[in-house]
Amino acid sequence: MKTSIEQNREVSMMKRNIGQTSGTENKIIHNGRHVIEIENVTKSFFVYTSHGETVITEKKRFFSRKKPCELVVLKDVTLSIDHGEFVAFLGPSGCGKSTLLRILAGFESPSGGTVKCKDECIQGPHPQRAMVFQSERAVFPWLTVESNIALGPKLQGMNAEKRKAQVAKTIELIQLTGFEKSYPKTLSGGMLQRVAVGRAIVNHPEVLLMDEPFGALDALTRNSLQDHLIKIWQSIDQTIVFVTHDIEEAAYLANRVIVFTSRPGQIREVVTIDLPHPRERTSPQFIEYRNNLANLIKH
Amino acid sequence: MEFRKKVFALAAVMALGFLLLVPFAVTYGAEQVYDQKGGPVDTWNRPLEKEFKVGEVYDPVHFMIGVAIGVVILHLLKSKFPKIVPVVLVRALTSVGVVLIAWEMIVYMQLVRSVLLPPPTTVIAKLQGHWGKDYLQIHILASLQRLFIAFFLAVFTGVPLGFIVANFRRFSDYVDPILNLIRVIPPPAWLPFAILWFGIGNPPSIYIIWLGCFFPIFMNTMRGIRNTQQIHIESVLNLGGKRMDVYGRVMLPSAFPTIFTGVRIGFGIGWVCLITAELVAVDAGLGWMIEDARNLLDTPTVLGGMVVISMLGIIFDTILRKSEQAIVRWQ
Repeated sequence: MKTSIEQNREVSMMKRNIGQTSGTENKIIHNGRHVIEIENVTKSFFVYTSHGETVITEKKRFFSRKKPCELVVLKDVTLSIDHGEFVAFLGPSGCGKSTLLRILAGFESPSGGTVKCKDECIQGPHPQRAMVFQSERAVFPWLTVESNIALGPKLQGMNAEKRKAQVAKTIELIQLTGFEKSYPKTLSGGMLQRVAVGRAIVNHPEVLLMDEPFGALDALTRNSLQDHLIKIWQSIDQTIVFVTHDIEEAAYLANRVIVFTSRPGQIREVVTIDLPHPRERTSPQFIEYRNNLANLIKH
Repeated sequence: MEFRKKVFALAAVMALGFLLLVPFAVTYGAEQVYDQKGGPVDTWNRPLEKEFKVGEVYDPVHFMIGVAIGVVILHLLKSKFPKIVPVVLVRALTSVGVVLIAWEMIVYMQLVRSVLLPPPTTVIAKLQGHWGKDYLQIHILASLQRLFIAFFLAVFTGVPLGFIVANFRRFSDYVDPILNLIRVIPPPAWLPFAILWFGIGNPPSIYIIWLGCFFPIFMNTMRGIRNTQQIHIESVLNLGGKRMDVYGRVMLPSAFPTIFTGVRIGFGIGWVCLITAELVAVDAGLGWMIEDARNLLDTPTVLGGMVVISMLGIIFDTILRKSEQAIVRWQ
């Protein structure tokens, strides 16, 4: 345990140094490799109202006489995300930021435009794009913490020995040592969300997609998990896309904050936050960034 | 042991039990049953002679005092060794003891004629006599064999069908109304047709019991599979799972508690249907034993049969509940 924390600290020191030296650049960690490219993505749903029932469909109904009401969720979103970046999608609720994340995960397909991950069009879910869901109920209640995390490598066909080592490493990283054999019902919400993160990172995904993962937690747990996430991000070389409606969370975590307008969701502005980790919530620069983001969301 | 292995083990035990029981269904004809030596036993050769008169074998007063002393000893043991003796068990046995004493007392004080409510002493003596003549065993075995064949059949048809129907929404829209129409018919109402279709003997009663077991198992499987959370399906797909992984690693475990509840309910209903089905169409089994004794106004045997039925019911329900607890460790 001690050694891993020390290692983390060393890594974070190294990264901080890098951040300070390349402070003049916009991106803190930048090697020019686009992991995700989103081009002119549009997403719309069709809403049919008949006999007091509302049905939302992705495609227009062929035999329907009624005219559906078109609900445009995302409109012309163009964005590229680099390797190793920590990007936050910030916007009011219902602005389509979660939908964009679900498109990235492959659960939904865009109505227009293309989404590429490492120069390949996204077709369906893939372990290279691991998702951490909003609700901690996404952790399988019928598996122990260990088996929950081991499921990903198992589905990849990794052999038992390698898998065991991998899982042990991940459990240490999410600091749940001693809870390997516990079932999720015995764990708290914060611990469950850490299991969800562990389950996602054990596969060494290209991108980690997080959909308001700390939204349902209390403020104290949320803060400690944010610090934890930063540590994890620093110790493994990974891209994170983080959806949130919490301005402070976005300012605290991300290198780059993508601010969305309310529906139909469009990118209002991309704010690069040029502060080294760990950030201080009370520092004047941080407050400036936060106020800036708050103003962007308001208008 | 891993969940999937446990489920496979359970299914294997059931399949094995089924395969072992089917040959018996053939040899247990309508006419004859076989004793342990392999020779045929005429089931009509029931013990008719009045071997016991009320109060002859067991003295009612001794019985009542004995039960009371037993209860007191249990309570003493509980206060002496509170960690070893479970409180719930002591309480349960106490209430059983009190009911037994009250029951014996009512008859002993001649508030009720003993033929209308045979006291525990008579029932026990009667059951002992039947057991001694290998009469009770034959009927228990005949009943259990029938029940388990039908029950295993219901599990092996209900669970896969429920799985399939739940996964094909459109198909289930067509199938649902028909099944619901059949479901609400009490299985014993099928008896005339069951006899017409399958003749006399085991098959019609197996059909009735199967009907009783099948619907709770089928409906609960369907409900359980349908209630699988979308987030779990998405999770396993996101972790690199294929379609089969969604079925085997998500839908099955997440629906398992509901399925098992259906199995337990199904077993209970099957048990009810068993006794009803045995009142006609067969000539061995606990239901038949009760019906036969009724014809002879042999009320102690009727009550004894009822006691045996309740005992066996409790035993099997406990076995099912324990195996559920062993498999569903996460709840």
